[in-house]
Amino acid sequence: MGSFTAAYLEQTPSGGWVASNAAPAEHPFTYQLSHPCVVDDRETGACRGSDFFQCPAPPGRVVEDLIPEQRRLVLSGEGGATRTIDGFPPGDVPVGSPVGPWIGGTRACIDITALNPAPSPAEVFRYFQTLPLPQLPTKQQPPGNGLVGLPVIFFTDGPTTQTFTLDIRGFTVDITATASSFTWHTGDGTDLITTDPGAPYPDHTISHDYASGTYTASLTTTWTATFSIDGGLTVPVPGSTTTEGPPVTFDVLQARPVLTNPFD
Amino acid sequence: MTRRWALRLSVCLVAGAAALTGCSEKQEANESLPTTSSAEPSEDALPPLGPQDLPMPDEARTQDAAGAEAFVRYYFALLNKSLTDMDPQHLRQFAEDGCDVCERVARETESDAAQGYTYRGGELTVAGEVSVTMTGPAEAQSAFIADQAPMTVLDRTGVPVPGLDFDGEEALSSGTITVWDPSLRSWQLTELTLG
Repeated sequence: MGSFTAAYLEQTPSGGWVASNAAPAEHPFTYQLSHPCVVDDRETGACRGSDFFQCPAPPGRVVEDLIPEQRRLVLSGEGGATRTIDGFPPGDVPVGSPVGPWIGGTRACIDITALNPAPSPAEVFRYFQTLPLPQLPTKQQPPGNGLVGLPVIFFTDGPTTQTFTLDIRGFTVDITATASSFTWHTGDGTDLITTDPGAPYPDHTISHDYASGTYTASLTTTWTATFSIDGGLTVPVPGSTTTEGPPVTFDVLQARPVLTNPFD
Repeated sequence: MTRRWALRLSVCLVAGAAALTGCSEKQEANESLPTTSSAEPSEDALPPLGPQDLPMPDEARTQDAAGAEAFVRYYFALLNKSLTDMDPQHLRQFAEDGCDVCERVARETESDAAQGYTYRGGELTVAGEVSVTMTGPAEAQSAFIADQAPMTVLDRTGVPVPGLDFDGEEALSSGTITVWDPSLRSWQLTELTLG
């Protein structure tokens, strides 16, 4: 995940960089591409804030922020001799083998689609944002109209966990989404934020007092997720997304006492 | 755990390989270097660098290809020494921050030493010559072939640690990038490629 090897790295006329394993014959270098965080971590054991940069990528392309390194390859010379592109001594290394040290290059956004890298967390997150996550409905008690002085209970009865299996460029990605936060828009300007979906009476945990009037309440659900690629390690998806549930409208009435004749 | 160890080991094996060359070289260097008692004091004498029992030879302190080659061989001697005494301080002294392999070897050696581990074997030898090219007035690149001896990690009692017994490797195409440090009057490693 942290580093890639490539046989070819070229700069396009537009200035972008593209890596692949389809090198022309006698290409003089081989390449290693590492994420800045990997490089920093090798040295310091920690990543830096500047290590995280999201490269713009056209749809269907994988472009990542990488530090390229190149290493000379031994080339065939005249009369069965060997050489390198810049005259560096090829030594006794066979043609096509790397020779000498890795030479660091300048950090850049590099298109690595051709290397068919496993989906990155950021790429999985982009897919996660498009998943048809449940739009959890708002349920309220008492059903129908409420009464001033009688708190309205809120809860949702939709699924709070959902699993998806995706095919991302040939990789099987299992995503488990979990409703991790609930924002209850009560309709009177108040938002209640909870980490549980609530429950009906008498196990309720979420309620709200209203003045008399007509209100429209709704629920925004925040989803987080974990994912694994081809059955591998399960890791968090870096980011969250939200769904909006259908609103409910109800009246809250002011109950007025009325004297009646008990003998009627 | 095993994976971490394997990673460490491959690096340390590399380090150890350097050491073998360094060991044989170490003795030669000590013989050739003037001793304190025999040396004539000179205004041009270089301040000593490196551990007392393995000082950097003067031939490694010239800003030319020969000096860079001697430095690379000396650094390998230090790597080998660290395999024996588990002290990587001089590996860091002569490597810049960018030399992540150097730092990893130093860090893992420290970690292993803290656990009471020691190494048996792991020597790396330079097979043939070290080719050095000056790539700038203060930068040199080298290329060489290295062989890696089998290595075993031992616990505090000298018993091999299960799963930490590694085969050697041969013909590792290797190289370095060194830069001249005028304040130390020495080369510094910025890149160490092994295999």
